[in-house]
Amino acid sequence: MTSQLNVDTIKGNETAGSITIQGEGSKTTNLQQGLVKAWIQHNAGTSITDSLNIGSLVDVGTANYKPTFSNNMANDDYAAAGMVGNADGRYCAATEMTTALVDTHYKRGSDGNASDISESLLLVVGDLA
Amino acid sequence: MASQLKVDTITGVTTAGSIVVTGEGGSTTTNLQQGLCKQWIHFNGSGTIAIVDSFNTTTIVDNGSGDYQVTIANDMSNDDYSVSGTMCHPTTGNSSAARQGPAVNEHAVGSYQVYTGSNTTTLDDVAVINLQTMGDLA
Repeated sequence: MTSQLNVDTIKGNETAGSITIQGEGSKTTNLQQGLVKAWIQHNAGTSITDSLNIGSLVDVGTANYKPTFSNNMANDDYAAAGMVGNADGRYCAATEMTTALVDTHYKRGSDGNASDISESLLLVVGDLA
Repeated sequence: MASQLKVDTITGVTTAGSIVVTGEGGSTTTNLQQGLCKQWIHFNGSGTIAIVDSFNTTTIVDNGSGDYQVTIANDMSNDDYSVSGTMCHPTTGNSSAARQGPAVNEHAVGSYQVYTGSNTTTLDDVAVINLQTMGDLA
């Protein structure tokens, strides 16, 4: 019979921020380490389409944005992945990663010049504060 | 009243590696295991390469300019997984350096290759590379 757990909050018992979870096969993984801690989709400018754990989006200059976290990361060692909605060879460079924000620059691969984007996606994994 | 579950390990009952979670809208569901990032890494890619922080990662290998191998600690179940990422060169500031990548290829259950380059077809090191892996654990 299928079981169902109704719960609002999940916390580790021995270590509050660490829960082991069975993977798809025989190996286990860590629930907290696997969760995306922040994500944002935005257009050129400061209009946020949708997001998780993003407090604000600062338009620093041409193709330069600083999404700030609502709940900060524990350190600046996390991994951010950026994707660009344009179809003409842009890339996302994260030139500064702090506990509170990711400084993202969008550039043309052909010449490295800043070039605004029609749509940007940014994902952050790592340790929450 | 809000409920709180304290637990150290979670395993599916019907299928150990598959737990259904109700989505934000309340009408559709998603899969907990499939939604988890299975490996991530933040590493320095120029000079003597070094892992800054990571999860489920054993080593990184410098195969040459703009050519790296990331070794996964607990293997993936197949080579069909997805890796996304971003990079920065140099480490700070609004660099005007034209860069390509990171590109990921040669997926294997225990490793994958990462390539970064200049604005030509030449491989070239970059200062910082971030990567995230989604897919099925072994």
